[in-house]
Amino acid sequence: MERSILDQLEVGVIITDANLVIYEWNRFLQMHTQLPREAVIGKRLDALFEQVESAVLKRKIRTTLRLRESTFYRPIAAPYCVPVPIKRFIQHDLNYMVQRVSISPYDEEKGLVLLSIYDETDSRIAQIELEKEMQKTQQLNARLTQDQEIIDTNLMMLKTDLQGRIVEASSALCSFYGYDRDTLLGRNPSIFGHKSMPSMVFHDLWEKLAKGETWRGEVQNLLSNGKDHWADVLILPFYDEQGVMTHYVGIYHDISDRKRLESLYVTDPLTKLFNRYFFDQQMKGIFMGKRRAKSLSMMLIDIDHFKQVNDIYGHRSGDLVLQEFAQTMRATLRNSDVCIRMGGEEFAVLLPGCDLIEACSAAEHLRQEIEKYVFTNVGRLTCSIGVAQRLEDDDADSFYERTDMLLYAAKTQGRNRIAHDAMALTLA
Amino acid sequence: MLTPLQKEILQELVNIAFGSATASMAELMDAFATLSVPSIHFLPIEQFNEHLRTVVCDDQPLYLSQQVFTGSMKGETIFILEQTSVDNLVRHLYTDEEQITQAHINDAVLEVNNILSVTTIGKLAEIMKMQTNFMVPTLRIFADREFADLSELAEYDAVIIIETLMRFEQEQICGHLLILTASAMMQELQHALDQIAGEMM
Repeated sequence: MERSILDQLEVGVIITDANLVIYEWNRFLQMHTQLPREAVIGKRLDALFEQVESAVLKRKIRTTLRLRESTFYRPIAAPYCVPVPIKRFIQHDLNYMVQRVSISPYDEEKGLVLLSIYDETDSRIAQIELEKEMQKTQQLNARLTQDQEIIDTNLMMLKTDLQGRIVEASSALCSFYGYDRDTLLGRNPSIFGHKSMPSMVFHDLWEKLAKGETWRGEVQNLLSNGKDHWADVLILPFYDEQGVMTHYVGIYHDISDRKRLESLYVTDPLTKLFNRYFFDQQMKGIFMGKRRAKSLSMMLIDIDHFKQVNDIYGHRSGDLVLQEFAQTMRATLRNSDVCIRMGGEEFAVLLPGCDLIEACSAAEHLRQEIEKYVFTNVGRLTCSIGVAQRLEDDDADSFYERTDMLLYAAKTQGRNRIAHDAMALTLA
Repeated sequence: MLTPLQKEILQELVNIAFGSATASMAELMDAFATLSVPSIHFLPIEQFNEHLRTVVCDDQPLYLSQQVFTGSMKGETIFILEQTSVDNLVRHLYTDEEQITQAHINDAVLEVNNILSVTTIGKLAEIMKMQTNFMVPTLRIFADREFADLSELAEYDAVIIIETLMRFEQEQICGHLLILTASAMMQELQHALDQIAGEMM
């Protein structure tokens, strides 16, 4: 082959014999190795470059000459046949050009072959990058699997279809609620339902989910052994790639302990009604503006002549009276009415959604029930009740003080009666 | 498929090709080598994967080397060696002192494939008076028999299977050389074999 042709090739070309003596060295190699033709012709390749795997290369040259066909050689000990240092702007781990060699018969009579040296650095870099990415992916997958296991064993999670049928349940949830996974699959999460939960909560839940919104709330649930617990529940809708909602995922967090603590904190230990602290918190919440849309009324109740009960029958009987009074209140009023022991023999009731007329009716009903009730050791007692409806410009203090004034009025007017907010009634 | 006479002639041609391959293999292995008379089968491509599953062991990694040949004669060879044979090959090819890496092992398999492919396909091209050129062989290693995802073979519709046993002194190397080609090429081969049969008459 003409030397000028070899010099125009964009691959390294060496013509050599079976002993690796160099007969030709093209311009590509001269430029990349900085070794001029004159410096290498007649010398042995393995003498010039000690990295050359002479035994392997010689064997392949002999095979080429025998087969009279090309053979292929990918240097093994080092990734190159002829060392060509490379400097790249982009950092990588390769210091030398990565090479692949094709060995073709050149002059069979003289036993010469042509080594074509191809630069495969770019594809090797791409391969290294790909391997790195694959390694990262494998690591991420391993972590993901590990995370999934951690999630499965530690996070109470349910997946339902859009009809609310359970399609997946984490081991943590199955174990906590005491169900086999197979028992839960296909069922509705209402299997955990507690009768005390108002249906409004679930109505609100489905309404939000149907709109594609996330729902969060505190739910009282039942375990398989009949015990109840409180869960903070977060339910999220999930979508497919086309943006179509496909399923819901509910994450349950047990808040029973917190609920018990909260309950202790806001409960009067004697009557088990809410305490004054809870009343204050509720009033603050109401007058923060969040719940102003609904009408609201309040009763303040005082047991008539309670001091005498304590003086005549003793404090133990007095405590019994307070407990039975609280039970009568709970039995007489609606579930949604909030009953509070303010202190001593004074009680309060918050009546959400009640206007003054409804509140007066409830108060009168309570007064009559108390009047009829026969208290242990003590017999019959009466109570006085002040009833007021929240007014537009009320704040927590004015609302309370007005109701307190009405209670005072009921007492001064002779007790065993209710006194209501006539001004508010007129406005209503 | 081939007539009994065509098959007989092809068998003879492959025998001659393998004779040449034996000499090259002996040189490669630096040991006295014998190659058994190869057995030849033909398969439609649909039965190819099933055949692969029957010829290899369950419990050994498999080295599968592929080499494309182009030109007026074109197709692809697949050379399969099981791990035991690869171990035997490497034991002969490298001395105990050498640090044998996976790259050395891969190179040995590729080299054997190259020798067998070039001699066999070269001989067939010669008798069909066709030109062919060999591409760089590639190697894949499969840990089990789930290797046969060879969907890239779809353009071929005929398979010639040449099985041979190579012996190097005490060691045996059992290899399967598969030639995949298109039916048009098979027709050319049949035509060439008929011509040889005519010349022999």
